[in-house]
Amino acid sequence: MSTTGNEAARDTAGPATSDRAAAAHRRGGRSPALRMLATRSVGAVAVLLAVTVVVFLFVHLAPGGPEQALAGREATPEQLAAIRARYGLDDPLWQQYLRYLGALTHLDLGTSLLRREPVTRSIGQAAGVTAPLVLISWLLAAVAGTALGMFTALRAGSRLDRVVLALTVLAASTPVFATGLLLAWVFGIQLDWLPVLGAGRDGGDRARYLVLPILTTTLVLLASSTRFARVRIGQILEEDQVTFARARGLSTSYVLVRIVLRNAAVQTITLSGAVLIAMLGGLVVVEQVFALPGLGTLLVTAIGARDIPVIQGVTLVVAVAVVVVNLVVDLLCLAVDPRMRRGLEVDR
Amino acid sequence: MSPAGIVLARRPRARRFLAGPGVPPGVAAAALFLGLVAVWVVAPGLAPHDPALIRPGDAYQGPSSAHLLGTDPLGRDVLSRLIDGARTAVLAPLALAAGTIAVSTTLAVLAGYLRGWVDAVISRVVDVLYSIPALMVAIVIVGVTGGGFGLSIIVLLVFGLPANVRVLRAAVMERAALPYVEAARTLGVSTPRIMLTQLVPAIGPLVITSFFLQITFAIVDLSSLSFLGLGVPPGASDWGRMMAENRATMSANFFSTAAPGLCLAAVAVSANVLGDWLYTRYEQAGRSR
Amino acid sequence: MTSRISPTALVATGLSVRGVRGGAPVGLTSDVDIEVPAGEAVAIVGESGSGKSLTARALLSLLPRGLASSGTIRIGDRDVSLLDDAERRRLRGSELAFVMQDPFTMLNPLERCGSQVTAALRGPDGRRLRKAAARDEAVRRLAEVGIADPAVADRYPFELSGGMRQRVAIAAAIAENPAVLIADEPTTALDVTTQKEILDLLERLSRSHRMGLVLITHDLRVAFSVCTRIYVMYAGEIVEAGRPVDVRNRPRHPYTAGLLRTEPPLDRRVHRLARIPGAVPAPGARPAGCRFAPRCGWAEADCHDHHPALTVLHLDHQVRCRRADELTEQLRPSRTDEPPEPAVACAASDRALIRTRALRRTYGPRVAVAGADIEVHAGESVGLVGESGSGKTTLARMLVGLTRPSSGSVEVGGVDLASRHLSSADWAVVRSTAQMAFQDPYSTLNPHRTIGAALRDGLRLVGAEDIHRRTDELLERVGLSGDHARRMPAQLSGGERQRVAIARALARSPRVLVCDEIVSALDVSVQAHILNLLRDLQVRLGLSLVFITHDLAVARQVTDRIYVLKDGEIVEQGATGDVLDHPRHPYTQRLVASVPSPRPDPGTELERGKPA
Repeated sequence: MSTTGNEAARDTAGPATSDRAAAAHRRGGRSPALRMLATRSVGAVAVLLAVTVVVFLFVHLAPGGPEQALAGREATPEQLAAIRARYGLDDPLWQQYLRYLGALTHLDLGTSLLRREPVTRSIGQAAGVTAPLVLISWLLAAVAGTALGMFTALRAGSRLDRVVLALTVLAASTPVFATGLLLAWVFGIQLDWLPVLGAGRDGGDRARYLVLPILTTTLVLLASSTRFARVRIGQILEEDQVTFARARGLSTSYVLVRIVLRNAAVQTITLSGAVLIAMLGGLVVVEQVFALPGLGTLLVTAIGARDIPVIQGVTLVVAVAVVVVNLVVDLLCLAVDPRMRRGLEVDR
Repeated sequence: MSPAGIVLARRPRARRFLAGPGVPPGVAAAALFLGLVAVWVVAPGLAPHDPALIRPGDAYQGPSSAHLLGTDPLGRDVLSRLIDGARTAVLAPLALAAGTIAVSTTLAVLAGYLRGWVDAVISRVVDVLYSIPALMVAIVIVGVTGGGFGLSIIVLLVFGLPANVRVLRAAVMERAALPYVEAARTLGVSTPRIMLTQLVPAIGPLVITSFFLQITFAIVDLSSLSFLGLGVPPGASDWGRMMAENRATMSANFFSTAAPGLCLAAVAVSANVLGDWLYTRYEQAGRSR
Repeated sequence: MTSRISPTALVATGLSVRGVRGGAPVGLTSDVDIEVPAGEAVAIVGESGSGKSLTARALLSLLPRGLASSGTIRIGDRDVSLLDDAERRRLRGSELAFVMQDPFTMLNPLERCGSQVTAALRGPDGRRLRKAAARDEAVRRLAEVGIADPAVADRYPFELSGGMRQRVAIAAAIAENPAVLIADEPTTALDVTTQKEILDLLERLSRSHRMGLVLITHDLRVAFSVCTRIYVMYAGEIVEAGRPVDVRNRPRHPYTAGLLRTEPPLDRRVHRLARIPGAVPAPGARPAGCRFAPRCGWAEADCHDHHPALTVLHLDHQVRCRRADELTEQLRPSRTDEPPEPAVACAASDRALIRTRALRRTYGPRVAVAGADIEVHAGESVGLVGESGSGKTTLARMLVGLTRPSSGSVEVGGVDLASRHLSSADWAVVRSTAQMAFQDPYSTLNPHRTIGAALRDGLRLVGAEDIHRRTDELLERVGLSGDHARRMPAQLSGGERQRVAIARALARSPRVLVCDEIVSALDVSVQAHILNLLRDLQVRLGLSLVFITHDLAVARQVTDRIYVLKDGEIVEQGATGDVLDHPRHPYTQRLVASVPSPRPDPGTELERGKPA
């Protein structure tokens, strides 16, 4: 009957947000930005620690227990016992975890069961394929997406606008492996312009092998970045500040760069961070489609072979990447928006 | 243009793209295609052949009158497998999306209206989940545990929550501060009733688009998992799986790979288009002035 | 006759704006003629839908996408209509400037104020100013608009108050010393005291810079206070134009006369506010004859058939009415003859329905309400008056239990809302004692539910028996018909929505209705309907009103007693007439003095100030 229960709770809504910001302002002394940065960094470290716990527990969750995971499926009971002794698996869990952490500080991720080499080396080689793939497609998609979004927003409702919209819906809805297979079939098999399988040797040769995977990844990323930029820039173009600038006779380049791009920046940066993170899964698929020996393939192979140390290693690397991306996104947003530097809330 | 005594901040609405009188042809096509797939789902008996029947003699065939879309490397009829695969291809994403949106809406309404510690807990969990690459985690978890289709769905459901909860919660918070909700509180309408009769209808259009968008994501994610050989059991006539199995022999029968790919993309696109259109319709019905 | 001698800064002739609606072309404004003398201010006055803002946009060639304008615009001795897009753009800022309504959205939140002010400025070499030079220039320009603190140049807009932002925007707009400044409702979003400062500033700038000022406003009082010529627009055309003295004292168009009468007077309470029936017709649905005829009390058959032309009466007074000559006397504002209504002797019942003691509400460090003692008795109407941030809304919300007090007590129907534990019986008492109606007509009803559903919420809670009949009754009580119950909010006008909001509150048969700025978003002609309705309800149902408003003239019309709030404190209280006629607290005095009043008669000014 009555709303008594949440009356008090509801009260904290409403005008409190600006006050909270004001309070944060005072508590943080002169720079709420520094405070926020400190909080985020502490948070990042906490998240990383949590990830190490989860990753560490992987070994214990795997079917057959850690000794089986480490020794492989065909291990004899004697081998298993030897493994238990060697890895100290009979010690209390927290001791094992501390040992694991200790090894991590020396960048020791263990030894791959499948490849019989340090996990760090496998990961290093794979990253040499994955890193350029990720970074180039991401950058391409962010820049081209913003440009395309702005271009269409300026021609809202035109035929071009509608065609681009339809294409973004198509690209965003098509599973990445389907896009990849289509591109491989057209450019690799029918036209025979580019190689479709493997990563080639080093240097220029590798670049040729990466063209199609990068194209595939970029297309998928481009779909979301274009659509987002189109909507956000369309909103800004209808805002009073744009009309006011045009009423002062300010040039188109002033309006587009100093107002539109700047006001879209915070959301664009936040989105591309989120997109990059979400894309990591898709990357595994892209690498499979083009048989690239990158981190994704390393992971899938390790999963197939129950190569637990490698799975742990890749997961950890991905976690670090995610945390770093989030931190960089926060930093960039702070640099762009003075309201966030003052500790005010901004829609992201 | 408003001569209001005091300015009422009105957020500029993003222009909707697919607005227009009548049913646009794109939407009609989407509905038609989804109708066809629905028929496949209800009546797998329409398949001309046994989808699982292996006939090595018929392998690698192109389209013919006996096999409209040809055969795969094991000599199975591609069209029959396509029809048989419609169930997993459509029902699973549908269930996944419905589950994700139902849970998201519930959490969003609770967090956005009750605020306080309920909101704090939900928001923190959502924040953490948000910065985790969903498909990647699904690959690792499903792969390491060897879990099946059910586990994939649960993992994807959980990781589908954060984006939806965020969007819906923000919408709920915006509405919760509006006079019509406050008026209901002042009248003495109970909290659960306010949630059901005021807030849920108010965010209805957003829930609908989120649902259809989520279908798209679910199709993409689930088929990616099966493309990697995770989730669905080997031999199942799943569209993603078919593409993975047949891609090596694409030059022998182009359709064995292209047809399931095309179907996947078409279902996903149709869901997207239809959701967008419904949203526009619903939004306009409640649009002021 | 100085206005004759002043060179004209801007002349628009036959300015029309067209758009497309549902595939067919629609005229939005037609044949607007405007003349702006240098150094003087003219006003374009009209309600929403009059086309005044579109006219402003057309003058600037800044129409929204899909709209086109025709007609000629001359600035100085240049014909703007002959220029191409690039040349028109160069004209904006340098010859024509524009200030908009909302100071909170006009400036780029991410750029410092100083650089926004000087963004359009170029050095003698045609290049952008160097950093130091730009800052000096910005400081100088800001000083011109009354901002003496040079540090403001380095601030971001979000660090400034609304009034300050509006000053920065004005400085940015006139940075290139334009010939004409068009200000679209520049003070509507501001508090009364700030409003007066900004109006004074605009007037001063227009004189000192020899700049023509076009003031677009819905508020006749604002127009009379600064302008030397008034254009009244209705349904896309000018219906009357003339000097403020003529328009105010001798309106010749029934619409202008109606507007003047619906405007509640500040200095006395009138028996019943005049109203204009009906609503402004939408473009495309405008009558073929006189566009005001369907709402006009003097309309004849001819008025409906023939569209009247704008005709010159005398001096420079023009009117678009066939019967202008016959109606002179009937249209003269009769207000002075009308006997002011004596303040209702409030039958101060011994027991207060609402009583607060030392009521306080804080949000973190900010004090919204700092110890308020108010009482509301049966049948009386109490006003809470103050500017934004004065705490009047927070106080009102505490009266209905929407906001919890930080300390003090709020007794509503004998239940203290500040106590920790309230039973559902207690809440039932509170709910049936006090109900609330809100400001924004567009969000006061859920857009996805019918009117009937909104009303039934309350009826169900009081266990009403025949809910559908009761719904119809409620609608009729607020002047709507029973078939409104099936409509959606989008099908209702702003005034109708506020009526529904009142009906919804009445569903619980409360004894007090708390009205939070319920007319501030409505046009004056609609506002009068609602204010009359509230007075009826007060009499017919014996309802008490708590009326929150920033508008002293409105408070005068509906309240018996008022509390004046400033920064969360009640600084003055008493019978409405006494407080407004003889304000004692300096703040109240300032509030009363800030209400725009007509400028002195240009005749006397001419004799005193500028010998010809």
